[in-house]
Amino acid sequence: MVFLAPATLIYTLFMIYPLADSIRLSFFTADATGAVSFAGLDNYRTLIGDPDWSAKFWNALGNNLLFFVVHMLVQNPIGLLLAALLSLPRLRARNTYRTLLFMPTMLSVVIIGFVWQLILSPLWGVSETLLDALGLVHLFRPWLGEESSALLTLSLISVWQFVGIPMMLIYAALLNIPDDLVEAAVIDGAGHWRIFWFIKFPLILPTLAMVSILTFVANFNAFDLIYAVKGALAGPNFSTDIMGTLFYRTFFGFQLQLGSPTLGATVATLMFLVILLGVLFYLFVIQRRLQRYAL
Amino acid sequence: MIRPRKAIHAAGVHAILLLYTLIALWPIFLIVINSFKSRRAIFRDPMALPAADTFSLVGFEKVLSRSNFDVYFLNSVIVTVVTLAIVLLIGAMAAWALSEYRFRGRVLLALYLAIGIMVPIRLGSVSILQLIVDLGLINTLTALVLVYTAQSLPLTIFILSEFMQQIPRDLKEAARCDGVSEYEIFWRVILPLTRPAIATVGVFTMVPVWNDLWFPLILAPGEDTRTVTLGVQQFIGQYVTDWNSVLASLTLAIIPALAIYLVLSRQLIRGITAGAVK
Amino acid sequence: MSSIELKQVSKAFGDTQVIHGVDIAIDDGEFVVFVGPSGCGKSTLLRLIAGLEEISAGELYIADALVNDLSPRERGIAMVFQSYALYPHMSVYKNMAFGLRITVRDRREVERRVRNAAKILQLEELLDRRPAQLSGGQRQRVAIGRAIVRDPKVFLFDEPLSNLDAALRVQTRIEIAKLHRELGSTIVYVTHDQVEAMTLADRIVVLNEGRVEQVGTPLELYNSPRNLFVAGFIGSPKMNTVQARVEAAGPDSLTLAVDGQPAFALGCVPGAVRDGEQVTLGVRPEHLRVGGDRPALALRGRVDVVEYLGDVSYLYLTLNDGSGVVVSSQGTSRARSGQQVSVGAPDAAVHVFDARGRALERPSVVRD
Repeated sequence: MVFLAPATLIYTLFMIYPLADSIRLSFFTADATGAVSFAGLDNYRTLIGDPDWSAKFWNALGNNLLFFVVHMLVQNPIGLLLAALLSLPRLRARNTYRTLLFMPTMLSVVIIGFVWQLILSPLWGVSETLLDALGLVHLFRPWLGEESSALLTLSLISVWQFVGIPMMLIYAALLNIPDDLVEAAVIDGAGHWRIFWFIKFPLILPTLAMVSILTFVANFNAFDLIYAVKGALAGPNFSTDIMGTLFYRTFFGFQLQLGSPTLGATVATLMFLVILLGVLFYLFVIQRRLQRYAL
Repeated sequence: MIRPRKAIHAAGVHAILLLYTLIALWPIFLIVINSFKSRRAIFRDPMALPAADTFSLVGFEKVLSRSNFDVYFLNSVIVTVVTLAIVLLIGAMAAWALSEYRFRGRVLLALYLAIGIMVPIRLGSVSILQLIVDLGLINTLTALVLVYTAQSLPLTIFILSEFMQQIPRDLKEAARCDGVSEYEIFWRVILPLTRPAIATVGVFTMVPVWNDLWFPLILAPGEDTRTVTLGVQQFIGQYVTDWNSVLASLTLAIIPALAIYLVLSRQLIRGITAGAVK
Repeated sequence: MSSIELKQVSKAFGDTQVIHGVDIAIDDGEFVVFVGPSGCGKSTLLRLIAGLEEISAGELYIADALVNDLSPRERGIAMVFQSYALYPHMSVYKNMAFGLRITVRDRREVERRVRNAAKILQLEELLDRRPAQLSGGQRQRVAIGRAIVRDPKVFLFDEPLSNLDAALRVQTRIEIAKLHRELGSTIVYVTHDQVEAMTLADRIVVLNEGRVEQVGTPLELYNSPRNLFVAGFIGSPKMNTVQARVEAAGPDSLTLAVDGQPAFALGCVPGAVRDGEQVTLGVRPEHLRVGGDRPALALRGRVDVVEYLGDVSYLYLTLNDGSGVVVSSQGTSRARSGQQVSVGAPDAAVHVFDARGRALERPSVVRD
């Protein structure tokens, strides 16, 4: 079919083939000369079993999980709150709010990373001044620089940037709820609060599930923010290392360690498995249980 | 009486929304105003707007002289526009074929094309790099265009074919009865009707491409092929202590993106809220 | 007491005034139907009563209490929506119990009332189903059930039958009438279908462009419409209208002339119109007879089409002045298309409207 050929061709060559080939490569190993030989599960054993590598791997996976949890607990609830407020009837300036709130989402993660790096920098002292004005100056710390808070800070920066996405998706879902239903609940005597939790919320559950899985995929694929703010080493002391940065380092090498495409492919394959598990869980467990209601 | 209660209610809602709008915009605003100030003013009073005595364009001068910002910008524009054009054209063609013709393996093909919506293309980077090297395309914008095209196609095809399915059959059949060829139906009937969805898909394609750091970093890190995102990242890495330059380069990256966003936001938001993404 | 009273109620959306100072008084237990063409403001008026829209000006009383600023809950009303607006994620039972649970604490009391309503509406078998698993008629009954469990002072119905097929519509109409008799509560019912209005209402309110055209019992509206709008809206097929000129206005009769027809006289209350004034005559199709025994009004015309419906036949005539007239005659008419005929109506069946469309008072017009 002439209509399908170009799209399928490019897609297959630059997406499916590399994905499949990466999985294949993860079972091979290259020696110093570049000759490639089959290695079975050796790469996986190295990553998960080798004391040096496994610590890095589990560290990155754990950090990534925390990164995701912060998004689920902060980004999506804020998105839900904003969407719920935006969808209230007869809200003035609705469109202006919507446009402005979505703004950070449109900017590059790299730019946002730097913006916050400057703002949180003790050198500049902007955040310190601000906290001082609120009487909270004793709380100020170089959050990005400390091992204990760097990952959380980066997660929150990412939340700040991407809160627009759940907001918009949930907002769209709320708009799809017919006015009649809400009015029927008003007649039934329900207040805003009850209408939200008993009528609207159950009806947007499928959207919330979708937002969750999108968050999951995006988080386990994240790289740019950490790389921009912390570099490939994801410091301090790998405390902000996530799967994306681990992949990059393994692939291209860093400092004294040489890059290894095959080991990099192994990391990528493991990321793929994590994402696949998430997506399958969503498709077969969550989506099955949730009913979509014809509205 | 519920009127005063309602007013308080509305005030509360606006207070929350305003607060969050402030949180969302303040950092960006801060960067932009400080980029127009002298170094001393940046540190002395970061929150102040640039005034006559603190106004300075030194950062911008440095950025423009020390880096090829114009080249980066042009590269980004080329990559984005070319990708967009290719994706929309071949994506629409594929979407049309998938939504209109019943052929064997249609569902299978649709599923095959949908894999890319959920699986990030980055995971194939190792092989993509190898492939690009083998094709001799390393450090070319073509490499970026090809990869971004592949990256954007799945969602484009998905959204467009959903949309095309809603076009009434009668329209196509009326055209067929008039003896119009399939190509002409696509060009003259389907594409114009798909315009609203195409606009949405266009924005969805553009934004990630414009903002991406990963592929420029591994496929086209050369000075001549850098995109704005990578250029800014590299520049800041190099001049990290020169606050004027850093702020100016960020502002240079922010302003065009926001300008484009403001122009297209109506379209984009309409697209999202019309349920183009489900 | 659950009477409703609207005093000079107005509603504007921005600069557009949609309801213009409406006065209506509805008695306790009365079944009142708001009827009018689409966009006449009947649904808006209902929503104002419900409290879903804010009243711009005027006063609304329910059970003698001013309720302008009360929420729907505080007004003690229940509403049945055109789309039924059933909560799709709740079972029939929960749909009916939702509103009740807010006000009634006792779970057993909630259950008792839901089961009772379900029994009245024959929904007992369906309590565990979701709305998506119900037929249109069943959904309709659940929507009504949701309204009656709350035992409201006033029921509001917003075009509740328009999503049902014709057969079901008639059946449900009868059920609603029965329900009203059993519950004895005040009902305000909005529809654009004048048959529904005629069959259900104690009194009908005819609305047009945000104004009340006439309020009255179905037969009052049918027999003595106050103006041309009501005359045209109530009755099917529509009342025929013919332009006429007043030749002479006597003390108790008018001599009228219709173009191309012989002059004739009708009884009249004096002083209503003057010589030479243009008036509109209205005659219902069912009051016109072919031939007839010295009718007060006689019109000659040519038969264009005859429709046989079995019990009645409709004759479509073109008069000499070019205007069209429909005659409804019992049984099978012997008239044939192309034939010249004379049709007539008795004095009492002819309505006369002045140039501004207002009905003239006439001593002999049929009254019930």
